[in-house]
Amino acid sequence: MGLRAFIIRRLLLLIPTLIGVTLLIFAVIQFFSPMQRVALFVGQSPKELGSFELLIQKYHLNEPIYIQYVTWITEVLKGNLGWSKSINRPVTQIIVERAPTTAEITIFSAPVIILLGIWLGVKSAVHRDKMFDHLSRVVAIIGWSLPTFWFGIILISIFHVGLGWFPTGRLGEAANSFVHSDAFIRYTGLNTIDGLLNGQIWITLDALRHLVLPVVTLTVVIIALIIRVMRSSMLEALNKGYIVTARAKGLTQNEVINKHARRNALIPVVTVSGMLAAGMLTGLVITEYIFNIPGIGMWAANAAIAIDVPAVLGFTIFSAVIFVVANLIVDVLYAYIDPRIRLG
Amino acid sequence: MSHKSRFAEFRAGMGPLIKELKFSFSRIKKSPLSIMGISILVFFSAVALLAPVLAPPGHPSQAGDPYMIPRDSYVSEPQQPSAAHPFGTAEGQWDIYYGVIWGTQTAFRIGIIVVAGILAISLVIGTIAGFYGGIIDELLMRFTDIIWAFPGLILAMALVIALGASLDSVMLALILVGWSSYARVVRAEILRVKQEDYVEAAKAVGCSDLRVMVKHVLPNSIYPVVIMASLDIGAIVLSAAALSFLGLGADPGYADWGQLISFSRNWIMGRPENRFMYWFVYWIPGLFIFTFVLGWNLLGDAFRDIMDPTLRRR
Amino acid sequence: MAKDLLEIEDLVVKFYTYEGVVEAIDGVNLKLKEGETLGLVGETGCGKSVTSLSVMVLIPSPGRIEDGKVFYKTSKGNFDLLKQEDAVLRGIRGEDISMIFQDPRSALNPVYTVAEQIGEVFMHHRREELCKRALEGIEQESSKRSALGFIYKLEKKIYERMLKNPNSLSIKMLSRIPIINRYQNRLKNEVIKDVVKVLGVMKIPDPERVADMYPHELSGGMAQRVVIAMALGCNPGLLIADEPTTNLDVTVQAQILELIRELKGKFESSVLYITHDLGVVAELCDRVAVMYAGCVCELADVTEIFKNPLHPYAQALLESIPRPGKEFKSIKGEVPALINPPAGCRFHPRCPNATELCVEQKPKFLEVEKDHFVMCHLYSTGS
Repeated sequence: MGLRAFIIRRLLLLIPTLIGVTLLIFAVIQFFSPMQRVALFVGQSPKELGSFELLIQKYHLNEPIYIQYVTWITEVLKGNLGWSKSINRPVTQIIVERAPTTAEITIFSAPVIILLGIWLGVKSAVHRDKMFDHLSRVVAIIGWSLPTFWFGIILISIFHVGLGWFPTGRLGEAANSFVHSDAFIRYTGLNTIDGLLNGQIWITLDALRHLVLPVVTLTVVIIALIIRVMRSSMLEALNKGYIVTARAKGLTQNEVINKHARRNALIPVVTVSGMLAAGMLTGLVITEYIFNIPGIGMWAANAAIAIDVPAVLGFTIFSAVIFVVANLIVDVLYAYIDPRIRLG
Repeated sequence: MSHKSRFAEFRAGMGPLIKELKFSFSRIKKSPLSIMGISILVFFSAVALLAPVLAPPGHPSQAGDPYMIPRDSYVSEPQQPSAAHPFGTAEGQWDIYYGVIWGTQTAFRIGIIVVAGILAISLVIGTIAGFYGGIIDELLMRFTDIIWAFPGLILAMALVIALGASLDSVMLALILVGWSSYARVVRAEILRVKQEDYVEAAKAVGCSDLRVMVKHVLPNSIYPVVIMASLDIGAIVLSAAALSFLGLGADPGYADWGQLISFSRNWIMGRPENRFMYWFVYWIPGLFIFTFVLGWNLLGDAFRDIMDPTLRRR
Repeated sequence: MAKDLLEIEDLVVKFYTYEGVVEAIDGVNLKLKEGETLGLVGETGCGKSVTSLSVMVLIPSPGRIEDGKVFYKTSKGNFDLLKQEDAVLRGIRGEDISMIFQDPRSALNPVYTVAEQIGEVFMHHRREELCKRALEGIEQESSKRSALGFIYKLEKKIYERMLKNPNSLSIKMLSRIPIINRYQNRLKNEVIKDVVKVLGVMKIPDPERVADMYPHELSGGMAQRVVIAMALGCNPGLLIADEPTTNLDVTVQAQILELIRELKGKFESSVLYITHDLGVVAELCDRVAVMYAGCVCELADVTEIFKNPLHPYAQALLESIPRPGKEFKSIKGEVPALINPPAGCRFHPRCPNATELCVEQKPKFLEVEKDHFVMCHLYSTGS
């Protein structure tokens, strides 16, 4: 069938999935009080609007459920996710504004988690039951058992409060005021890259220093997942017939492992990467909150604490969309690696 | 047939199973990590059971509820460990020692209730889907997939806010979010067992669907899921602690590990003269959570290794 | 006179498992001459596959080759393969000695195309020749078009480097850079030409299309032909065939056997053919070795074995071949577990001619008649 047809099919499947997701969120919305539900539609500060009854009329909240759903979905598709009272700005705007901050942490964590995890998993499988294997499994299990919030606090206490090596927050004071001044052009919104593009290396370095602890926190907690799956799927792959064939052809041990076993072993890892996206989203909420990084995660955490309904729901929708898209990418990668899937 | 020979037959039939069990146990014994896991869990079970002895309730501030942590006053600065407060006090003078001891009970409670709830729902849905197949199966699985399509903790967060923050909402939310991963496993097992001859026989004899499901299919497909779910108690407690940390769990002062850590946020900086002055406020509850979850994960890993047929014989 | 190509002497292989030490092979002796097809017969579990893997020194852990010698004759002389370095062995595998397997679909890697997998053998063993051909191609093309001359010069340099120093670090680095590593396409095209050629020899229709297919798109018979192509690509002196037709339909079986027979003549290889099917042995093999419980108990010409089997097990085996009109005969007893194998001769518990000596002492592998070897006390001097 080919990769292209598979991608198209998968993209078409996206629509019903997203509809299902919105239906689910809509079901959750029904649990809220009418006042809270009105806040979902209001795209401006509620003080500026008319009376409560008018609003209920305007957004059809008295009408049958399916009309309510349609009204809500239309608003969502128009980009109106309500008003976040904890920050006093429209939800959609907050998400757009804060996306680069969260993206920055993700861009630095995800590759480390994936590549380091794969490498550790492969090596553990190849040197099964030897010292390296035991060590990496212990590290993996410890990481998986660590509460993100606790581990972050410990890192802050040791490396920031104690040693002063790595700070919290996104940028130091001087860097922060410079970045917000007119002298600095924000091309991407990512301080590390913008620093380079503006020729101000010190900004990049400062941003990187601030990224170390959050990235380490996220990585240690999530990498266990990748290591575990990679290791077990690698062990399975090494047991297969084509490994004997490869050896019988005269290939070196490295070629056998990296060319033949690893590609097959990556398949379950790719599948699990979907869970990786989920883990990262959850981890980001806690990590940004603890390290005071003004991204989407911190906003969500504060919103939860303040019971800011539209914000929490807006964040849920946002996460769901990200997750669905991530799974799409994962599925396509899967089909790219494993030709058997393309027949569908 | 006489009783003796039937028993002998049963023994003979169980032979391979017993042999496998013996092999599993010997593997468990050999693995230091799983021994550590078991010891940790035994320790925590003891603490939970002995909570009333180790940290007797009865303090006036508790108002009769042993799960509320006692407090001497309302001073905000945490007090250092002393004879009166072996682990010190958290912000607001909540006794940390009491909190972590009774918090063990809370942790077990959360874990067991949530797992039981997850098992119940996933068993019902998975069995119905697997047993009836067809369009019911399709619909149920689509529904499961949609829930599964959410990052779990985030949906749980939304649910808790919808239901109103409390420990019960947290448990309910985790149940509603968590069953989806097990439903598929249950369904797979059901599909496998469904094809066995004794199920056909039961149907042929005229047993009602419900009877076949409950008496024949279910008992033979339950074990993998039960084991999987129980070993996930660690992850569940971790999620619950995260939600408590964000203030979405029990009322302030409840004996809950996650909440205790949330009290420590303002005190990480310590004082200029001693940066680690309030170490006990976050180290102690944190260690309790970490070790508890570690115990479950060690056991879970050991079990997974042992049960996996490709990894067994080496 | 044909000389010995392969000689296995007193091979001992043990597997150290949880349940105990499995003495899989205890005294295997074989001789294979050039151009000869030697059949290795025996029941499931008697150690045929372990023997074949030992020849290629590919025994996986927890197995270990404990004792014995495996002599293989190459152009450079007679070597004991068990004492060679891994680098030497890797040169021999796939080029001098090749193997084809029982289940062709699991022998192929599902994520790579046929061309990639067969091509691997060529890339590994025929790199020099391929580089030279690539260089010739560069010369031809550059003489026609002088416009992009510098690209050709660059390519030429790369290939000359590859020729001189196949393991050079700079080549390895270049091969990873996305657009620059297009230079490899020239090499790949040469490889595909060879792959299509060998697929054609295997009588596979439409070889260009098959080369681009994935293993799961092939039928069982096709897959086996691909595996054979992979094994014969570099014209090995010895082909080890481990039950290549067992998993195939009967009609396909006949085709593959016919193919192997043809190829044997065309490529002039010797074949070690492992099977449990005596019919195939009768059709295909020149000589036969009969294995039982980890030992070769008899080795002789195929007609000798069928007419005059000397070892009691071989006799019983031939007796048990079902024939119309004849009563169905089986060998009494069971194949022993190899964790605690019987002492002395491993067949003694089931042997009608067993004596006390058979229980105590393991018989030696002796030439009893011309080119007819038996491992049995009945034929050692004095009985």
